[in-house]
Amino acid sequence: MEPLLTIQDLGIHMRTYEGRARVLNGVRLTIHEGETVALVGETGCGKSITAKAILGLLPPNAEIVSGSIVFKGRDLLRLPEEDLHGIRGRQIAMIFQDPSTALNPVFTVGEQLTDVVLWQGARRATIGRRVTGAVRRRCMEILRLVRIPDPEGTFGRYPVELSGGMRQRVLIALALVGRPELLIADELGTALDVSVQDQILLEVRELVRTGGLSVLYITHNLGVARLVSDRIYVMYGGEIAEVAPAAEVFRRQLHPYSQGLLAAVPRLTGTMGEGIEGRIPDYVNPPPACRFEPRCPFRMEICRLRRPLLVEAEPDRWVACHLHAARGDGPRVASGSRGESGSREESG
Amino acid sequence: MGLVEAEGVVKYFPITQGFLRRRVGEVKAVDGVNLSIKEGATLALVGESGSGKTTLARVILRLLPATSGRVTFDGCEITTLDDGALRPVRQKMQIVFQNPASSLNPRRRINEIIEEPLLIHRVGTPGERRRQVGELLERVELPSHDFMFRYPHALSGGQRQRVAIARALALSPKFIVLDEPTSALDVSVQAKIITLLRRLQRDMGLTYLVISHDLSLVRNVADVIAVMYLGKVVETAPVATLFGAPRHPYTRALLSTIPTVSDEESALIPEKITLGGEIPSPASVPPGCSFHPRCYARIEGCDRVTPELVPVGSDHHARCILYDRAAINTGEEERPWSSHWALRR
Repeated sequence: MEPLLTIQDLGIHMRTYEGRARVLNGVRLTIHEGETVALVGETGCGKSITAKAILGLLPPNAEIVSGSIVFKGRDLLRLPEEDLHGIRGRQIAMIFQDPSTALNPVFTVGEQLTDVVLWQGARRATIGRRVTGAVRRRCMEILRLVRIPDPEGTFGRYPVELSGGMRQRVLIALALVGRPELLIADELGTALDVSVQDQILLEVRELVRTGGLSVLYITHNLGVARLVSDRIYVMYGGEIAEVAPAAEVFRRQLHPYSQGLLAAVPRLTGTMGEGIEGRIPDYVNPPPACRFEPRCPFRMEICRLRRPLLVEAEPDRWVACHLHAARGDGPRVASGSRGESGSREESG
Repeated sequence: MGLVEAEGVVKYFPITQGFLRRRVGEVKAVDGVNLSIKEGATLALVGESGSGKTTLARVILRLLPATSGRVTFDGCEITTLDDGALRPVRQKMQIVFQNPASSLNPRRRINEIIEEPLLIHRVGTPGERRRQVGELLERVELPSHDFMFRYPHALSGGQRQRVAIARALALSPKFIVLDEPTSALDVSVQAKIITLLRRLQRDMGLTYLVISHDLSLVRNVADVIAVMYLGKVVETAPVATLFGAPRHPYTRALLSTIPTVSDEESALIPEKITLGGEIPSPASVPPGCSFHPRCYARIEGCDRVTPELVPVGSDHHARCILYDRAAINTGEEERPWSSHWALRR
């Protein structure tokens, strides 16, 4: 079956003061209908840029140099702005990261919700909008759906009058009100306390299940990714390092970066790794071949010469590393120095 | 007797109204906390935002005056000391803040930032201070010749936090408060910083008070944990006891919501309990047990009786009516509390 969203070989450069930053380098990603996918990685790995590219919300200094983003048979990168209006906020919606800044402080929750509802199907925003019966009913329905305790009261309140969890719920309502097919959730709940984060994640998971939504979670929190997603994309330095079903990637990681990342997470069993040496690559002058090579404990000669491509190393498990050959090619043995010429942490 | 002792510490912030700043209420940020931190140990304060963790730490350091209660540091009561007498004590206690991007002055070079505490306390000659700054940078594993004359913006988040730690170490303190020391950092960097902090503790015999909302992290760094809810400590125990046999309903719920990354961990956490609602504002604390509106193990009397922190095991205390027999009207037979829990699970 045709996936809902397919990103192929997406390359994005940003013009910066220091020069041309190659922030995305051949990113691939697919989301099937009804599937929940998590894009995980650390600060600056390009996960938010990927989401913004899907929605056509890239900053003005960004330039798409290659690739395509196909959503239901149409390439979003080659669609005129007019047509994007019909997709953004309706077929694809986004829940933004920080509930305290993503809402407009000078409008009430109701005004912001009706604004989105009135947008549905309209080419331009209506002037002199009135909250008619149907629109208001739709707003109440959606506020109840995201379990806001007092929808009538909340409708007339300003964002400052709401708690963090309630604001997050309003943001979810704003994203769901257009009945999207694909939901992009950027760091959902990570700005909230654990007990509230837990409620929100469970509720969204339930909404997704009952509504048949597809979701792209963008997160740096591996525990959250494990809780919510079916498949995980691990991103490093603007590239996809590893793709695997969520349950499997937490048991065994193929890419050395995923291994290092998982090892660094503090465990309830009372163990905690040492972290990964070095720092994220400089995007203006990235390492020539494998972008993880300077930090990799298993680096070999070839890692500096040829860029590893994302290959299916095991059934349903894709990895971009020279340690793993494509299925059928026979395994390559990990040889090479184990970080002898290792640079000290972050001193680069 | 611990290096740091807090007895009945209370901190209320007044809520004022109108031109005359009439007092109309108070925010009960910290409401009667007793703590004791042994020398060389790490105590972790955990809780949700608004539970009073940071305020308590600030009162302990006397960055804020206490409304009432006593804080003793190294056998000397500091709640009543005047500014002059406090100066030498201040050298021995330091703090590392949450966000290194905002806790370092962007207009000062790294060497100036680290030297500043030495200047304030008039330690050494310029030459000695320069040498000391170099040593401190090496201690936090930053090459001094590279970093000495840079500005904070030229450093990564992890490097900045190392500078903040070097600054806290400048006066050779005995006690350091670490307020969410790694929450602004990525996991791979967090692991490096925690490794460093542990080594410093071992080498220099430091005592830490760690404030964190990340329970998996706390599991790895703390010796003793105190769980706070709305200005009160609701449970305190050595780390293994607290994670192995949590007693307070809030602690259990908190532990059950930890997102884990392996099956072994998932096996360790209690059965899933999802709390309804959110932590109320400390300006309007619910009557009785302040947790009762969200509590899933609520019984008759929770909304009237304020439970005390009572022992529930060795070094293990909890503030819950289920364990506080004095809080319940005696007269009825002793209730089988353990079976009560068994029923709930």
